[in-house]
Amino acid sequence: MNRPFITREHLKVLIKVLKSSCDEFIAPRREHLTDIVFGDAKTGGGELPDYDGNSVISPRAFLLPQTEPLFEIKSARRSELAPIEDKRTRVFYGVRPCDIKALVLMREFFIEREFADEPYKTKMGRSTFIALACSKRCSAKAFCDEMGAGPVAKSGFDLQMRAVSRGYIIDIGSEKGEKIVGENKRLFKRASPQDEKEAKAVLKDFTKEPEKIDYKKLAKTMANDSVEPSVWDDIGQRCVICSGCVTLCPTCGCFSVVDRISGDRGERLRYCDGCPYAGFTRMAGGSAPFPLHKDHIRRFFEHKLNHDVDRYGTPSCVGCARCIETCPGNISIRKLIREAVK
Amino acid sequence: MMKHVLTTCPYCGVGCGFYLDVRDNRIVGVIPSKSNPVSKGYLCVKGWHAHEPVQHPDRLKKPLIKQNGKFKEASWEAALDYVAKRLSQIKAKYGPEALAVCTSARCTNEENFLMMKFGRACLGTPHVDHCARTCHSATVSGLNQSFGSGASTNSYDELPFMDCILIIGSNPTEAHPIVGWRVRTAIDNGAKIIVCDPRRILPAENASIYIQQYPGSDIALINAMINYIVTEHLHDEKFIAERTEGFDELWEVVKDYTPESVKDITGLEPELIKKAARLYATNKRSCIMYSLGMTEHTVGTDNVMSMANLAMVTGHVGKEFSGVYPMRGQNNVQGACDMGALPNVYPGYQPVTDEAVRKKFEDAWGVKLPSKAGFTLTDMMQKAIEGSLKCFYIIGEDQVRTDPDTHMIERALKSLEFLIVQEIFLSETAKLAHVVLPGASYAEKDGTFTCAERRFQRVRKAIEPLSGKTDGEIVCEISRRLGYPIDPDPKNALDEMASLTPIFQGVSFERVDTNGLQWPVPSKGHPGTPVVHLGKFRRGLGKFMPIKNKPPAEVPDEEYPFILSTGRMLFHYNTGTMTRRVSNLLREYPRNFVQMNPADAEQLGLKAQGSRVKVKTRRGELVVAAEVTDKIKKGVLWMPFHFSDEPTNVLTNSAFDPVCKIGEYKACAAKIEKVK
Repeated sequence: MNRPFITREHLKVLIKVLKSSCDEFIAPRREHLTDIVFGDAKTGGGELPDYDGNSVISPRAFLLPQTEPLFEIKSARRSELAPIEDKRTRVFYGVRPCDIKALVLMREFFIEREFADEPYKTKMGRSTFIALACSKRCSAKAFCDEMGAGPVAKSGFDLQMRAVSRGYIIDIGSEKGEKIVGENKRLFKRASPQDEKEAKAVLKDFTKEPEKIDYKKLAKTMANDSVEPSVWDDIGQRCVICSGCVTLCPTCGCFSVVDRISGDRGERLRYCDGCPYAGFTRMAGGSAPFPLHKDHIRRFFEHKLNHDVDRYGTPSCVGCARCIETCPGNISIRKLIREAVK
Repeated sequence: MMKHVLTTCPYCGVGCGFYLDVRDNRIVGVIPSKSNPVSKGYLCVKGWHAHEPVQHPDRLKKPLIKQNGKFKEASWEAALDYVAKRLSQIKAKYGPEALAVCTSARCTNEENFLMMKFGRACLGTPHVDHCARTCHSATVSGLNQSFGSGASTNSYDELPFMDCILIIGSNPTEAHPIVGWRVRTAIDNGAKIIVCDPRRILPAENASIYIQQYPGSDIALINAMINYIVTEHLHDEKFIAERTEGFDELWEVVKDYTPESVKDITGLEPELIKKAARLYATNKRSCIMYSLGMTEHTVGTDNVMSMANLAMVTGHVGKEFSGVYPMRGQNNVQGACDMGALPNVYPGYQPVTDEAVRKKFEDAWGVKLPSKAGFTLTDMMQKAIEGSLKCFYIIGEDQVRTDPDTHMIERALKSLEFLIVQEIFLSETAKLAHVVLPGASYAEKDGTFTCAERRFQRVRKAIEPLSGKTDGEIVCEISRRLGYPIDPDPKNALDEMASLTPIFQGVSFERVDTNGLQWPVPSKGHPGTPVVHLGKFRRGLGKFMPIKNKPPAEVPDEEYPFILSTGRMLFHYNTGTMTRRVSNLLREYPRNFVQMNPADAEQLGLKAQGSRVKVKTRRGELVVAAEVTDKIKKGVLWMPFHFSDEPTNVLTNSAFDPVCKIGEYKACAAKIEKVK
């Protein structure tokens, strides 16, 4: 049977329904001029039902904010603590496939493996993800298709929408998604063969010159330390430790914690941390296992392109190009990949 | 409730744009704005963490009044009444000239305008200044004499397309990283870079020519470049003839400065100077970028005018893709200067001594205004010690930690009858105050900052002021109590400023809102001015100033054999009151250190990296860790000044430039001892 289908008119109704079902409706919104950023459209409105490009920052801004309070310290002296929990229900609307793949990897990291990160797990458990497949490349630097992370998500969403001229073809990715379609039957029709044909054409158009990266070969090259040393030297001289890459990367999950105390009271925060900082791996007493800066940045790339292939069977770079577009050293992970597999 | 509030970064003078990510009145992060014309989605590590200090528990939230040597919290009413009472008492007893106002390069244009107006119109004192004194006052005085305008001649976006960038006394990748990004892009586009710096800074790694001159030998270096350029006929004779005056006088001085003759002063091989001179002169699109490495000298003004000479000799100014770029150090140090927070000018650099200008302001403000120029910040400290100044009102500046010769500054502030400090954290200067008024950070107010490319940009309120009042409101409340009501509304303040200032006539919140606006903006519909001096310098003809090399006030000798230079580093900002409250930044560099050359370290017998050493000058001493690195020239020491508990400025020299009164932070004599 053909997949469900929704017209643009009915989509507006569905958005209304979804908004009333959650505490926050996180959707792409146009901020100043051309800036698109995920924000809460439940109270403020302004959601873009469809849009070109991608949000400056991925849904991680909500699931793992740059700084996040973990608990309140009511009395440091008496060790009195009180939880600070984010129990809001959220619908994430219009999430791009690259960010959906990132969420799948982050779920592995934060929930599925050795231990579960409670704040992250709580938020994920209360979130619904509605993906919007890409009809065109979000930026000239993006390469999701090369990384197998776009333009259409394979899994990790509750619903996925693919734009065609009449409206959107819907992929159902979970029971939650099934339920949304089921409860709003009147809004959905079935896609016509013409719609399906169109969707296929869009996909073909996007990946005109597929230059799939052999990520296993890439991982091996990195594991064998056979990337030209001059590549790392160059990267080391370019990086000015802005931390933009690890802050925007949808698959960077590293954080540290700090207590912000005033007198006897305060709170424990966690904050985004990661590879570029020398202090990230510096040990007490000042010794550092990797004293050279180029090796700090190399760690970032090794994680994405080598270690995670080993751990999850897939690279954890999703080709969103956020790190490239925010790097004041003009470092490009895509260029690195090209040079590495050359 | 969540919102994204677009605003301008509060750190250096580049002026990057980002959104503050606000959830339930808590600022949880920073999101770069890709549409911002300055930063285009790029930020440095300080910008990425600019939200963290705002709601730090150490923030001052209530006024503090000192009683028996201890601070006691007070209500706003009580504190403001007390401040107003003391101000009028001192004014009545000693006259208005016993009072001085120090405005803040960290505050908005509107607030600087209000503070300046408060000082001159309400208090009636001519003594208004701010920290530009210690960073780019030399730029204002130098470029003004050479070109007729003391600000950057060109815009950031020209940088990636330059053929040659001469970077001297500036460390863009650390101190102005998003301009550093443009330098990086220029390199990637094939530009040739010349770096002149006593330290081999990051851009030097990719430079075509790296020149490691001694601190304080810059005039000799630049004069030698001009000498070679003219001798080799690489100068732009047409430009010199049509656009400038005074070339013969310049040559009269510069003709003696052959590259060979400056070898001992600069410590440089003549060939290197020649190569650099040729590269800069012969490329079509060449510019000069400089910063405090040039200004913070007793010859700061002369240094700046030397660079102007070099630019004019080669015709690399007054057109697109050329020019002289002073990289401003603070978010709004350009704006604070522009707003007339200087002792000799009203907004837009209108002289206080010009009767017509003064009359215009007297008519607008309905008071008699002081007819002479006031004291500079440097002079204020001396006058406090001498006793003629009795009261300072300091807003958002930590002189005890930022001004050279800390012990002298402390003596000056302690000798005041009354010291008011308005701050967001209890700084070392605030600790000396009689009253501390809790100010508001950038995230708690509306207004504008002006960045180093003369661009007004909006600052927008993300949360309510933690103390309940913005800095502008505090000043206006004091003014009201003194019987001179001022409207604190930032929009009205900017409109009033624009109406009184020819070069800012067209500036308003509406015009600045979308993409900012680069001054001069001489009329309402004027589109702004990305490149200044096109076709004609602001002063008419560009003026060559014949300048001779002068050594720093203090040169190495047998007792103090090293040259100590100081500066800023990537992870911290000024006295670190904000950056040391950001976990990631503090962890990178938690403590002070001194950089020294391996040869010097060996001579001292230092065994390990990080050994404790004592740095001594004629003014003070400090024990810090040694960072041994070949990036610094032999015989030179370098220290950052960000660490309040290990304060470098106990060592620096308060000798100052006679024109602009900037202190000599970049060169003094020092010695170093091993700590056992």
